[in-house]
Amino acid sequence: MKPEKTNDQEFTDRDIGDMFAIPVHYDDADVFAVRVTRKLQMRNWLRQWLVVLAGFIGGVYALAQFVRVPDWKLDGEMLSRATADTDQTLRAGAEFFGGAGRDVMRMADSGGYLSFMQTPAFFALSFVLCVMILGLYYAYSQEEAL
Amino acid sequence: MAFSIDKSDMTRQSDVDLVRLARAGTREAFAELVRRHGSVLRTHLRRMGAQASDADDMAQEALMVAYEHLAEYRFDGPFTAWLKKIASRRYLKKVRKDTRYVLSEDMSAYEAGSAPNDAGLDGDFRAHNLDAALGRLKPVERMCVTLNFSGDLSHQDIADELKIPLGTVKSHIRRALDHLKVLLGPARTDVKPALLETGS
Repeated sequence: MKPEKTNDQEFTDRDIGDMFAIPVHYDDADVFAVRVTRKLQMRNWLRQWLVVLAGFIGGVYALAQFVRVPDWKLDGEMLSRATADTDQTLRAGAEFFGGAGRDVMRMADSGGYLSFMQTPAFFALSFVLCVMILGLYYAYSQEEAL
Repeated sequence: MAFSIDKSDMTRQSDVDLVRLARAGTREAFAELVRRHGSVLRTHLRRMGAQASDADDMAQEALMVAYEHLAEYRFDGPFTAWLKKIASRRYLKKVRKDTRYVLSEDMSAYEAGSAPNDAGLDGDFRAHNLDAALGRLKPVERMCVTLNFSGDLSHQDIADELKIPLGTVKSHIRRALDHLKVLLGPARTDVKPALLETGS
C-alpha cells in the first residue's frame, strides 16, 4: 500500500500514473457485461441465419433450374381458391402477387429472361450492384478496422 | 455454445488463456474478458472526455470489434492495452469531427480562468479524485495525458493518433500533469489511493 501524501510532499508524475491505475468500480458492471455478450450473441445469431437464409434461397433457386413440380402453377385460379372466404384486402394482395407471379412464369416459360440477361441494361445493372456491394464492404471494413 | 456469464473456472484463467479459449470458440471465455475489462474500458473513455452514455456505448462497440478481430491480438502486451487502443481510436474517430474544439492548438478559448490557480477558477478548488481533476483540464490536455497514462501510448503514438506535432503533445502532457499536481497535490491531505466509486 502506498503511503498517504502529507502537505509537504508533492505529487510526482509516477503518483499520477498510479492514480490512473486504480481500479474503478461500477455498480452496473455485471449488467454491462451481460448487455455486451447478448449483443454479441444476437450479432452471431443474425449472421448465422443470414447465411442459412442465403443458402436456402440459393438452393431453392438452383433446384428450380432443374426441377419442375408437375401441375404447379402460380395462377390466379389457385390463389382465388386459396383466398376464398377471406377479406377484401387479402384478396387484393393475392391478386396483385398472382399477377406478378403470372408475369414471371410467362417470362420463365418463354425463355425471355435469357435474352434480357444478355442486354447491356442487365450488364449495367449487375455492374452497379457489384460496385455498390464492394463500396458497402469497403465502408464496413473501414468502420470495423482496428 | 451460448454466450453467458459463466463465472465457474473462467475467473481463474489468465487473460492470455481466456483469449486463446475465446479464439478456439469458447464464448464464456470472452464473456469473462468483458466482465474483467469492461469497467476499465468505460473509465478510460470517460477520462478521455466521453460522456458517460457515449463512453458505455463506445466501450460496447470496442469490445465487439475486439471479439471480431481477436485473431489479430499478438500477445505483445496486456490485453487491456489492446482493448484501450481500439476504444481510443473509435473515440478519436468520433471526436475528429469536432477537431477544432477538442484538438485545437489555439488555446485562447481556454486561457481565461483555465489554469487551476487563475482567478476565474475557484481558488479553493481541489479535486476529490482523479476524474474530478481531469474534468478541470482542457479537452486536448485531458486526452493527451489519458492516452499517455491510461492508454499506455508513447508521446509519438499520441502525436500520430491525434495528428498533431510531437512537441505539442509533450507540452500538453506537461501542462496537464502540472495542473493535476496542483489539483490533487499539496493542499489536500485526504487524497487516498482508494477504490473510486463512480458507478452510474
